Amino acid sequence: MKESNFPQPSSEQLASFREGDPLVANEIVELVLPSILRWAWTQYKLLPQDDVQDIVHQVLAEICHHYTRYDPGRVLFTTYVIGLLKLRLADLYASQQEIDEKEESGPDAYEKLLSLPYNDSEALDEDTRIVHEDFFRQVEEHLEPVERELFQLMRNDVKSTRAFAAVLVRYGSVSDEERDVKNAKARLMRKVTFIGKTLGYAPEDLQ
Amino acid sequence: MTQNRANGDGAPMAALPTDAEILQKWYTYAAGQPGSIGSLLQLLRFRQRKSEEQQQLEFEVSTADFARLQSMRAPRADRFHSDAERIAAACHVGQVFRFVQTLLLARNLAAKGQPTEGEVYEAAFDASASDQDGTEEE
Repeated sequence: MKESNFPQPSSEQLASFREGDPLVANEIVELVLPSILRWAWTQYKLLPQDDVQDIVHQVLAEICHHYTRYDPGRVLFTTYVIGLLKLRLADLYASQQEIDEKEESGPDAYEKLLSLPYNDSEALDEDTRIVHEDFFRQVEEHLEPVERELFQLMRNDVKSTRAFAAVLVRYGSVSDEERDVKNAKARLMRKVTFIGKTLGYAPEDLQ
Repeated sequence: MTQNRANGDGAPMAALPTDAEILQKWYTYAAGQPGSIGSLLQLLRFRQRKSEEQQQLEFEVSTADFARLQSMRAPRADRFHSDAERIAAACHVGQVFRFVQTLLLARNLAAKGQPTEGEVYEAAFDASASDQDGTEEE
């Protein structure tokens, strides 16, 4: 198991925790909560602190309630907590983003979005469209899940930094939305270009 | 009671709470969760029309320790007395016996639901007598 910078419960504490000992559960929460909460606040600066705190509380309460689900033989306690936290915080981030976008774009935004042609494919001639589709399919086979989702957004001509950031958050933390999205996009484009070259596509095939 | 932090430009950002403040908020949150000692004591306060301060005085426990105590999960059914006594000791409860009896009463009340106040008192103290004989089924 990996080392951790977070304080860890002792093996005796974990054994008692797994038996549902309420006193030990409290000891463990007192041990890990401050450092985990500070970590979450630092990693998810874009989210309101109170919301992050609520999620941390919920996750810890659930872990204490379902104490048998945690297996000390598989991961460190704090790794387990953080794994659950990341999932919940990504959901929170996505909800927050949806609220922000609705506020920014006004009541007609969804209708406008639905009226947009998907990938503007009708504007392309059939041969070009087939080459593009074939290329994209082959590229996607070589991408990691996170890259695949980012690639889909780029193909759909999504401009919102927040939409890209929401994907990044689901796969890890985002400390600086603008910078992390810009870097991820640049990395992805380099990789796509490399894959294109490897597969024998000329840049003009993809114009 | 707060720790200041700075962003990359050296400008102060919102102050981060101290460990004590963080834990205080956790205690408040956890005490309101189902299955916590806080939820059991709350049930009893409602039934007995008592305030939190009255309960705290009855148990002879400080405000900080009472908050901590209420945040803990209720004792396990099969080790109710020993868990309750350990929790009482960890939270420096002066009236341990009273605390354990109150918790038992609250647990019975939560489990049985509807009995009147007098019936609940009798049931709890009957249960406590049978506990001492080792005859209670939990």
